[in-house]
Amino acid sequence: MSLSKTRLLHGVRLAHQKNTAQSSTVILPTPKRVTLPMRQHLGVPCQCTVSPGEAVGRGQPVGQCPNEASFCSPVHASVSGTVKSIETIDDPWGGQCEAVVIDSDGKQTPWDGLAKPSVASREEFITAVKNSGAVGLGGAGFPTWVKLNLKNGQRAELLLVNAAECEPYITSDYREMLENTDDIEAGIQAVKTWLGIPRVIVAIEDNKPEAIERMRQRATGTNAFEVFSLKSRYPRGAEKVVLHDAAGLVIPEGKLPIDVGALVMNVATVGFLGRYLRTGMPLVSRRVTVDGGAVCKPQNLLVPIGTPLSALADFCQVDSKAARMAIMGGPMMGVAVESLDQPVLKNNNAVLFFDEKQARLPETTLCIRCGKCLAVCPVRLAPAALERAYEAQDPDRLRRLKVNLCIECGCCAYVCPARRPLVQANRASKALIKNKR
Amino acid sequence: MSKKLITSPSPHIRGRRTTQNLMGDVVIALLPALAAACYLFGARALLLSAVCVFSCVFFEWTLCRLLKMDSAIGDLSAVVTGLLLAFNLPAALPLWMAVIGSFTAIVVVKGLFGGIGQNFANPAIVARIVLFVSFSSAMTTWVKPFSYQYPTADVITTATPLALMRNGRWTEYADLFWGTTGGCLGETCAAALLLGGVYLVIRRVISPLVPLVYLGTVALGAFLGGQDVLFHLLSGGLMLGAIFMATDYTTSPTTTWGRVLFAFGCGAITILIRLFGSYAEGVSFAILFMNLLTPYLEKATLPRVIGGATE
Repeated sequence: MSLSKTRLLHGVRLAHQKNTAQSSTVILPTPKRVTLPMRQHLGVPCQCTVSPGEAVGRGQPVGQCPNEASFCSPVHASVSGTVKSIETIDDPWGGQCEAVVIDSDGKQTPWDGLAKPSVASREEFITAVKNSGAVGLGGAGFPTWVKLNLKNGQRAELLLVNAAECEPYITSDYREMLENTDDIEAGIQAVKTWLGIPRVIVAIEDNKPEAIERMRQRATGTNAFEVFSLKSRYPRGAEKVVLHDAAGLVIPEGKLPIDVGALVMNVATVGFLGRYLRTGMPLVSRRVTVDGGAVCKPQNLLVPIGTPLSALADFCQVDSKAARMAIMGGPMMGVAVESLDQPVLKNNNAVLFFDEKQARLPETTLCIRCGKCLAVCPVRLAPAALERAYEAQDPDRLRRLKVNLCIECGCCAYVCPARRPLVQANRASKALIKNKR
Repeated sequence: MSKKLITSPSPHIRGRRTTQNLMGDVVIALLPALAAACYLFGARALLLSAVCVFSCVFFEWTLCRLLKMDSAIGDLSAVVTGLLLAFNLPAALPLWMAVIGSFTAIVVVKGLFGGIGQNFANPAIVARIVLFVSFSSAMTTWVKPFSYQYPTADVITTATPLALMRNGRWTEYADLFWGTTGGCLGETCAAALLLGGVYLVIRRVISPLVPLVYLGTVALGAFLGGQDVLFHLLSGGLMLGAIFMATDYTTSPTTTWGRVLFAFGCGAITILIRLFGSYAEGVSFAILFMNLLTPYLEKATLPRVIGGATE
């Protein structure tokens, strides 16, 4: 276990913009149609198990892992209705995959086959997690069962529940903590029990005092976990940063948190697991923060997976003339999409609609070597030097400068007075290294 | 959604700072010293500064036109260079010499190496040294403060405090602090320069590290050399150099430890020249020399990447 000597990693102070923090979650009316991509997770796509014309119930599997050991997570029907078609669409990981399109009957009839999972051993727990369709709900989309399925010799000493929620605007994890505290506690207990983890830390940024208070009260009652208050400074919620600041752990190059004895799970994922074990309803809906300059009614919505962004826009009264950019995720790391037909995915914690002023692209000028990028990088890379190495197309220099350790948090590009596209350069550099190998 | 949605890579929000407003802040920070220069040396100081600024901006604009590049004068960096160059010149310098200095700074040092961010040395410092070597008499004719108030057509000259000290003559601290001494037009008033420096630190344009280490090293050297510490800190071009020239982004290291070493080197060379050199003043040469070492200092002090394996 490599322990860190420094107290706090760098980053930037951002305006929090947590405008939706006080709005309780509203259930979005069932959309007329949902699109369920077979890949909503890191790894291989699911195989489609339904065909057009087939009637489906809410929670029925429509995509299954190709085989037992696949790095994959199943996909379930988020509405009851009829399968309209199987289409090929772009997935957020840059490829293409199949998607099941379901016309909703509006009844939300649960699938007959749903049952509360019975768990009596670690193996049964992992199977239940797999059947639930859980993936990392904070944004990464890592299949949860793969993370929890420890290999021989691996041992988890620490479960870090990541509730930092450091990106501006997003409050979906915050609402989860206030509205579903019981589920989070149940989820923590389950993971702790079945994996035999001795210590659990729930890490929350200190701009959410109510959530810290709520979780602390719960913790003192049960002693199931500790609550750690993170200093609010973006990107506290990045896996490497939260592990470093809350537990003093450093993940070595090319390793995973489990290699230093830690599991990091998003708080909404843990809450979902708690709910699933109680009800047996797989991951068919999620909480999404809708906000941004073009949104008249910013709020948190409970949205069926696969709902098109246009349905969210209509419900939150997005000014369609003003909206110039739609972002899936937060403003620092989210993806700006081309069309509002794009469905909400499992890992999608927010949808932002930016107006003209917010969406305006900055004008890039020459680097003045101010060194601000170097001063804010949480992993202490040298972004300006990396950009020069990328322009020289020099994979050796990029490797020496450790471009692969870039977490793409965007701090460097945020502070750059010359508005250089530093994150984009690092993404391209990673691809360059991969292709030259 | 009538118009097409804009797509671009993350991050989708940006900080407030731009090159233009950073440079604008440096210009604001230089204004107290400009006002002091006008008060001490009269309208001539303002005229010389205006000539430097306008010729720098003109050369920048012309060069961009000739090289068919987007005009870069909007970033205000040429204004900063012009002001810094003027601050490094004696108030009575013939205006055409100042224009040669501007040409050296903007065209030779900055433009020919690729423009902003690409120059290896501080343009104003190289221009000062070129003028100093080319026109050494005009560049060392120091106007006596307030002499513009006397009813005479001739320029009344004086020596700089550092030169006076070598001849065994003392200058009062108050004169050094308020700038009522001989010297380049923008370097004499330590009070105005410090005011500008505080502004830059508050606005987070510069880190106080470089000026403090630079001044600290000079103070230590003066102390070890058995000379008056406060005198050395307040005289010559040290304040101007430490606050405005050694903190130049392009020509100093970007790493924290690189900056410390850079400032230490500047301080050490400055005091060595002052104590043992044949020139009375060493700030320009010290910063120029350390400018050349910047790439090496930076390379040697890159921080260890968190979690990075050593190779």
